[in-house]
Amino acid sequence: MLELAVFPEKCVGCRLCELACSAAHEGKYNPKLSRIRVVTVHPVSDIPVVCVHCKKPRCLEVCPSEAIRWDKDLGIAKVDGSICVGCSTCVRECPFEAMVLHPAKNVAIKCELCGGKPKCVAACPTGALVYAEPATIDSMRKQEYAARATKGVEESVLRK
Amino acid sequence: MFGYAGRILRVELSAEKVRTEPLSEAVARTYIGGLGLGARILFDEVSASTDPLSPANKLIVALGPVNGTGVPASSRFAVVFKSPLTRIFGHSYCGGYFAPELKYAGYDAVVVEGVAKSPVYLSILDDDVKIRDAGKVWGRDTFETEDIIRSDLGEPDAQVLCIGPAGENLVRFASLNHSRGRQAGRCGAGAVMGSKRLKAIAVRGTGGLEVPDIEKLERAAEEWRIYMISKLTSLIRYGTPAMTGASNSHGALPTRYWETGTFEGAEKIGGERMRGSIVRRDRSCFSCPVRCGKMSYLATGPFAETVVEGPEYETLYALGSLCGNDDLASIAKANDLCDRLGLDTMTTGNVLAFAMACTERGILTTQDTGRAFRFGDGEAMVEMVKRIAKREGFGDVLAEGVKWAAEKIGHGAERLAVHVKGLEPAAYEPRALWGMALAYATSDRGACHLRAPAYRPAYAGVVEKQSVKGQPELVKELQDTNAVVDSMVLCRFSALPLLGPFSFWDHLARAYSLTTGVGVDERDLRLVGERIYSLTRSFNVRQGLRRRDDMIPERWIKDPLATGVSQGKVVPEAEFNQMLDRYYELRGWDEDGVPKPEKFRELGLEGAVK
Repeated sequence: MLELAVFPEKCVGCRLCELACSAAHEGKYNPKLSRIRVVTVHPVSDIPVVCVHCKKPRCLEVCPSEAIRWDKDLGIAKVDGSICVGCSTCVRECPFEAMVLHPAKNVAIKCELCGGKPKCVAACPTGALVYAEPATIDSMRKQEYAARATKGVEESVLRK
Repeated sequence: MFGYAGRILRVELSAEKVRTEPLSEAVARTYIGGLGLGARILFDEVSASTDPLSPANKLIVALGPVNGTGVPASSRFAVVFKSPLTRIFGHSYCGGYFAPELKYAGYDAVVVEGVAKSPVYLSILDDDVKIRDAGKVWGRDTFETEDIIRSDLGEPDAQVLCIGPAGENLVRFASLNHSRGRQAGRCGAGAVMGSKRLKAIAVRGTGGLEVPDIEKLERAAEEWRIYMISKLTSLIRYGTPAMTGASNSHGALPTRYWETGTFEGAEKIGGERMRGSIVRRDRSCFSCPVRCGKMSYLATGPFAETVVEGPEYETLYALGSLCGNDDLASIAKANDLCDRLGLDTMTTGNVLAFAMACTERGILTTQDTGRAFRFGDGEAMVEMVKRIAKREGFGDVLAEGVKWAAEKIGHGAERLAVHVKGLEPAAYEPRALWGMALAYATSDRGACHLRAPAYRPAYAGVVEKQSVKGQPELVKELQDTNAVVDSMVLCRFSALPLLGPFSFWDHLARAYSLTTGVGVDERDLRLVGERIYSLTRSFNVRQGLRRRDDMIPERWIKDPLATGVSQGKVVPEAEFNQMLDRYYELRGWDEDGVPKPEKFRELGLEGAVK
């Protein structure tokens, strides 16, 4: 099963992920309704925040309407918008602040991996977002830190 | 029309009133937005007699149709105003995150006029617009101001555009500042904002933006991004500092206040040295894959712990080679101070280097400047930046810009002063690149490299460096193109001419059509570009400017470059006039540089310009 991974040290803060996400799911450009958002921590970093797709999702546990269901194919929790009543329990309980309430539709929204082809990953110009097998991600992260340690921050950041 | 919010926000500070008005579709079609829209408003509403620092001047923040869309490098906005530095048409641009936020809040432009009774800032939270007390932030630097305003509003995601102490103190080249390192630097918009006692504009927008066919636009945007990433490898790796070596190798890196075009310390302040020493990470503006922003950190030395976005090329020239300074650390520190205090690094470097040149020639003494002020003295430079922002001691003289400072100093300082129409030039030595002499001379805001970046074709060998041939045609073409780019509003880096298989006008037409839903072609956009350029010219003609004001500094005509590959070169007066004649002819302006009535008719300007 593929996983979405974030390499915040490679993020340059361009918000192309937010634009791509809102374009795909809202039919317009609106980063405020993006399922992924980039938080700037000056001057050190920009950090993409997105659902980490917990194996035992807190959102699913706490939902009083049972609107959050487990999707076996993708191995993630998904919100059923036709059941969600917009109570925001999941938004409050998510340990990663990765869920928001859609202001117009009054339902909780979260990253659902675009059905297995995440648009944000395709739009990311630096490799800060990766969609791959866990073993591959693990190896990439090891390589990334090894490169930072031996070749310097510069070289590692430049490698996509 | 898609791509626009459809509303202009009017802010009358004297009356403490805000209101919105619809954006006229006719105006949008005729001038696009950004520069064009701002120029139209400024021309109609600010007169020839208006003092730039008086309440009657207007500060116009203007967006275009691409802002807020997925078109790459569409983060910029235009600021249009009458310049307190040049007293003519003033405009400047800034990237970051402000422009899309304003569009999402539902505005295509903010027009500020009047003066507040006491310091205020403007908050725009979608439809909720308020003029608020700025007592807490007045006197604060730009970094603190952004943080305090966000927390004051309880809006951590708000984007802030603000002035620093330099703008409050009416330094004539004070900048507008955003996101800790992005500036609308040129022409002194910060002083205009300071004169209105307006400390900042904070905006948060939740509305988003619709385009006619978002899937189609997303596909085109992806294609552009892939193209940009493949072509702009040097900008991605080094940022604009990559130009330092290129300019120096052409003998076009202005050095020791316009003495020569070759700097022996160029390598020490170049892109490779920066990347290998102080750069820690890359930073991008909204929607841009290029990440030309380089975050630098000084680990050791007298300026240890300095963190700055940059320095970028123009800053490396102004605070580096132009001051004979090859110390990257002092350049980075002075850059950081300019960002925090709210100063244009380009004019700042020029006034500092000018004072150094006056000192070397005995026009200024230690008594005048307060301390020894010689070429290459990075520490003296850093100290003087603080005094300029505070208008303290000799800093008060330099805070006027090179032209006026020269008049105050006297004793031959005027002949040393290098500027066109009061604006200090950019990092391209015109004696080595004759096209740049014409570009500086005919730019509507004074000696600026961005109206017509004629250095690029010269470096690429498309035109000869020291020849009149093809230069007037090239300069006009680039000015018209960039008038459209600045009205869209796109970044130069999404649209560098000579990029390759994309026809540049086709790219612009496609971006315009995909965002607005209105089909245009090259011919339509060329006409808009020319229209805008003749309108801004008319603003300056109304101010009394004529051919004599399009002259370049005497030193470029008479004083040969001292060393290097361009040693001995000047811009000969006869050749310069030949280029200017041809340029006026191409523009349909008379021999004194005044647009002809028939040209106005052709451009659809006759009703507007008397």
